Amino acid sequence: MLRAGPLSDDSVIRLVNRRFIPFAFDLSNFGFLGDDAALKFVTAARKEYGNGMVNTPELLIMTPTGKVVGKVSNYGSTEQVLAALRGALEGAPEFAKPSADEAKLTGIDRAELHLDLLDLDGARAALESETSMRAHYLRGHIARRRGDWKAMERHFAHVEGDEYRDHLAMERAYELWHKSDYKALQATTAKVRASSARYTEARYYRGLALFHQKKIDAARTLWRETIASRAQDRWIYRADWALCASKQRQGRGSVMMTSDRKSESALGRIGYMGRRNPDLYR
Amino acid sequence: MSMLRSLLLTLLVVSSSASAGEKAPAARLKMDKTGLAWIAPFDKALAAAKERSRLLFIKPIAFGTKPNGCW
Repeated sequence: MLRAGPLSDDSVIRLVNRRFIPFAFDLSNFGFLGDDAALKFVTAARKEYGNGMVNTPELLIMTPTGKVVGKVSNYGSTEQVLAALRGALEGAPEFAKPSADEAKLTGIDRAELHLDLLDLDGARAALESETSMRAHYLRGHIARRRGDWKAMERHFAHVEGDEYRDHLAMERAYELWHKSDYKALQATTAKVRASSARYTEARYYRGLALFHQKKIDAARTLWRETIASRAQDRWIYRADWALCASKQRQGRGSVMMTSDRKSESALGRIGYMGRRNPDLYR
Repeated sequence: MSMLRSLLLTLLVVSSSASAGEKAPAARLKMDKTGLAWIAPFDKALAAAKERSRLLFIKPIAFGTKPNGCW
């Protein structure tokens, strides 16, 4: 569930990739991600992880010397993961210092750094004297993340060109999602081209638009096709979660939620998919 | 003869692949790096954490993992 939820969230990904070293491994001897060195390192701090008795191990934030400075439940939300990440950085500031390269960043690059660190004010300030198309786009993106839709449109009015077409459609889709305007969300996300980096993200939200219009079978087909279209992509994990959690109850027109992962996961996932995909319950 | 040879070759390839009950070298794995930039194996991740003075973000998995890094 962590992987389909918080670990596929843009804010979590940005902060982890900027300030942490992400690592995953299998506690058992049966999986392909087994790693003896990791098992030794983790069990030195968490002995119970070494005997195979922990079914849902917590996500751990550790120093290179083996001290646990943060943890999140295997069923943690995005907000809980972000809180743990921030708490760990505040509690161990020696591991939160900017790198030598980061200290030299200016303008757009500095704004991107602040966005990674979830510092929207810092990102906005770094763009203060920037007039490029990218700067206008990032101002609109920051406004979108703040939910300031008027400001978003004001900045996006300066953005044009094929390079930004799909990004603008997907950024605007978040306003429609926020306002539960599912018909418009379906139309807007359909504009994002298959060649775009935002394509699977758009398909995920288009599936949600269909789902919330009670077009369950269409949503599930779209998610299944999206998963099949990519070998590796973070949005296919979320689409798989939605697929697992939604079922059309045949003949009754109502939706049944399920965590029947074995029969539903298009990725053939092994891990428990979790009780609820919050995007399906609004 | 060629069919027998082909069959033997197939058996050889299958038997040399790691099954679900075996560990596989980390180098063979394809983890999804389109989001989180996972670093593996652990020795490499730990070295990166020390070199860059960064914390390790560790997800232990209990239900098993697949050859493609999926869990």
